[in-house]
Amino acid sequence: MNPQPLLPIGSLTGLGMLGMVLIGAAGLLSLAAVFGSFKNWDVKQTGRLLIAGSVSFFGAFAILMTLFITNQFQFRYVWRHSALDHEMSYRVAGVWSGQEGSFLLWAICSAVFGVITLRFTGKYRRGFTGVYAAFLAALAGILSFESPFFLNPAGAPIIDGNGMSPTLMNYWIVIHPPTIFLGFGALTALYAWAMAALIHRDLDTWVDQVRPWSLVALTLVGTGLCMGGFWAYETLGWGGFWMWDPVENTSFVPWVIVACLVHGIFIQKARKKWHIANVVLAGLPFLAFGYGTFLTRSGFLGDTSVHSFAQMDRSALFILIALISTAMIAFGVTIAKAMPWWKQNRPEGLASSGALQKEAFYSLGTKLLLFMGAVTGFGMSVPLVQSLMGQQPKVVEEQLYNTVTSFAFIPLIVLMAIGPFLTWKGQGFGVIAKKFVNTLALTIFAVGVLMNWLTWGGREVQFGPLVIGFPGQPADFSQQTSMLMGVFQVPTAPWVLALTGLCLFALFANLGRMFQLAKTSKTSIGGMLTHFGVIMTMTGLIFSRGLQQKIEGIVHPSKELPAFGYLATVEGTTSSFVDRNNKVKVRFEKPNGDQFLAKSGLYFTPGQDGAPQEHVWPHIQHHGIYDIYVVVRAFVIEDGQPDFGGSEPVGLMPGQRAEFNRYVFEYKGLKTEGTPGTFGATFKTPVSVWTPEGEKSVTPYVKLLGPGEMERPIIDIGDGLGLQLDRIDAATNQAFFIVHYTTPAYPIQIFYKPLTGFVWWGVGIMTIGGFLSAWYRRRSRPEPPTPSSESTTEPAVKPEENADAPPQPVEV
Amino acid sequence: MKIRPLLGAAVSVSVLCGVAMMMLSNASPYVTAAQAKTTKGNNLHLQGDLIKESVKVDHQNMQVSFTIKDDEGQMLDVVHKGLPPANMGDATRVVAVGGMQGGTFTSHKLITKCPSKYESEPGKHPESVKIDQS
Repeated sequence: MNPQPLLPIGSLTGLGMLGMVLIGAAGLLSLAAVFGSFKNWDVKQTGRLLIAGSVSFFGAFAILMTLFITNQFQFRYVWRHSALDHEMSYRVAGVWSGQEGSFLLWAICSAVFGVITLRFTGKYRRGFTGVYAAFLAALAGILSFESPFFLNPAGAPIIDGNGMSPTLMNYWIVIHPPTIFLGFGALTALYAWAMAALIHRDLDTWVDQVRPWSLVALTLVGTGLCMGGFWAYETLGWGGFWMWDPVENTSFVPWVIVACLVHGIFIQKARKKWHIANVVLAGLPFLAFGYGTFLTRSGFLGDTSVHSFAQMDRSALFILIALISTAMIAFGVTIAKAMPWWKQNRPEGLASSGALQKEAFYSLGTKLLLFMGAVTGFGMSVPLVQSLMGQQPKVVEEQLYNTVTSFAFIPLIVLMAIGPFLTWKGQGFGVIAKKFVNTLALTIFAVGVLMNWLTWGGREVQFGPLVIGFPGQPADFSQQTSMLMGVFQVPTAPWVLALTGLCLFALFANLGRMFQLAKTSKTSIGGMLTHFGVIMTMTGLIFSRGLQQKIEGIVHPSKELPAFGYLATVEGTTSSFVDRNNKVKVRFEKPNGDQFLAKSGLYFTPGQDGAPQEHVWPHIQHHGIYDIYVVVRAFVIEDGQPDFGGSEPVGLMPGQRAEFNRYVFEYKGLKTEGTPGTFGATFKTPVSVWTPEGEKSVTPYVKLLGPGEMERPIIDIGDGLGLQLDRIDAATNQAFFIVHYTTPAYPIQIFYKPLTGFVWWGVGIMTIGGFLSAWYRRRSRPEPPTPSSESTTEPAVKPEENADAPPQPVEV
Repeated sequence: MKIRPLLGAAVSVSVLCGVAMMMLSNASPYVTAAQAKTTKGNNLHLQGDLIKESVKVDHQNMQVSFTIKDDEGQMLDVVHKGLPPANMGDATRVVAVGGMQGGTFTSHKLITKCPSKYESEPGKHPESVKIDQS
């Protein structure tokens, strides 16, 4: 039975119209809030307008969700991104699986943070409200032109939706976009706060308010990024966890800048410096994300991006460009206008001395992070730069990104390793070095263990009376890695081990410091925990990417494929090839009995020209410290007929033998029936076959049927194999046979990825650490000022509140 | 006293400019069939229409061969070392990354572009698929 729509199609058209009205209302309410902020209305009133606008957005979003859940395919957007057979989770995810819906998601995620953070903005509330409302109004404008509530043109009755793109059908589409867009929403708050700080001429108070939210933004964007990485890892052909695609870069650049802000605030609090820098660092992430959104959706990347993007509606694109350029110009102008005031009122920063102290490290780390952000931002702009200069398009390849960013990455790991042991007061090298003796010893031990693993993986080794079994697979020591874009080569294993050693050193240093800090305050360890998670993830990425191994072959019931100590045999499918949940079962078995069943997804949908199109989902077997990644690909389908392949024609003289998979064939000699050269003549070639089950005889033949017509049957010999007589060479009497696969023979790719577990664990720890830090830096909400009490001249420097003083005593 | 920040700014600007120039010059170019034949390198992006009938998958040797018709109408045979991308059946345009080896273009990476039966997800993920052979 075909699935039925939850509510009759067409029944909720009015509700969709209400959604459209709500978006318009959100725009108007936001505009009113902007106007009110300009006119210096009561901040409570403008705040209420902003909240009302946000609530309108929430309403529109809820309506769109309802339309998706109830299958209202009369709406074009719902029709395009959903279908009756979609599970509930994919119906929900359909809301943000297209352009219009993802803008609406951006709007509501921003609105969420607007509503929450407004209460904490204190004296900045007027400027904050104005900036925030202006952004929401612009998004409402975009959504009016790119509305998800447009109806399909009238015509034939609609029975079913078009459906979400099958490549997106994965559980990550349910959770990744909301997470990362919440992060992007938080960036709006940072931008609005920075603008408000400049408008209200107080560059001190706001950092206390924005601090926890900068940590929330950092954590959400970072976690969202990594979720995207997991998604790409689990999707065949998305280049693994990370490949510097413009879409990934669009979130990576804001993330590193927010990381700079988080550290810049430390310097401002302790040293009364970096006021303007922190304003810039809070505003830039939003602008960078806006620029990336423009770049990826404007079509400028065109053919040079791996992603193909739907072109935006022209008017909506115009509003987007206007929004981003206005935000950039307004930010620049506001800073420029505040500068003369700032020069007069700038506090005397506290001096610092020595290189081995916190300020120097935060400062250098920030610069390195900014360097990474800048080169990534430039790299993704190269196609735009080239096309603006009227030149042939070029793209920056993954390897080039890796080469350039590694110059910042390696020093950053060193900073994160030493950083935890520094204080604000400069220390001598000897003092610091003493703290690292234990860490260094642990690192050397750990690298030694890894070295043994790489050498002895998969084997049992005797150390005196002790027999130790090493898991996994030994590394391929012949592998070379090209450095600096191919200038020279280094052996991969030692290079990866060296990088891993550096990362481990940083891990142990952070771990040690965490234990020390936890004695005084449990919640203060958030920063260390976040660093620990980030480095752990990087360790996993470096190790698994650098020392990955791959085996390709074909699996079929007649053969076993050896792979990483296992023997792989195919065991059929769980369903039919048109079922989206169909899996090909491949059993992996070790001689010692260890085994697992890989279930790799494989199904077909009708493609553009009606030819079946293959969809592949890998099976990932997690083994604690390594992954076995199994990809079962489709056999060839030509003109609707599957061709499973087989052997090349093999020529045999009578009495000769040949072997295919585990089968041995012996050609017994030619028998002719009828007159050769006339129709009806049959050439029989009896063959003895030795199968694993025993010996049997078959007789493939060629029968002449008519001009150019021959009968050449494929004779079944068991285990999904068939034997066919291809031709007979009249001169030599040699008979040519082909062994066919008569049941599916799947090309298979099997990867061994060591230490991938570090990636998952690292991301989890990073997320926990980030939220813990945000909790540690939380503040109670300040009272908003009345319009009369608000001063725009003198920055009121509040005394440092000691309720949540930084863990390091600020020296004066 | 004022010289230090200026010096710092000058150094960072020149470093960034240098890196930018380096990235521009090392970025991989998109080429036509004619340019591919005369350009050296193993990271050329040859882009064009996929001639559907020419696609041949060789599972034994794990490679795919096909013909690309570039935007100037020139044809070029391409051999891709590896299995075809999962959505090759639907692709109309492809980008083959590689270089000339004899008379054929040998690619180590295939990027396929699909006509938008499904509207691609903006800001999210692709319809087109990249097979990385590394």
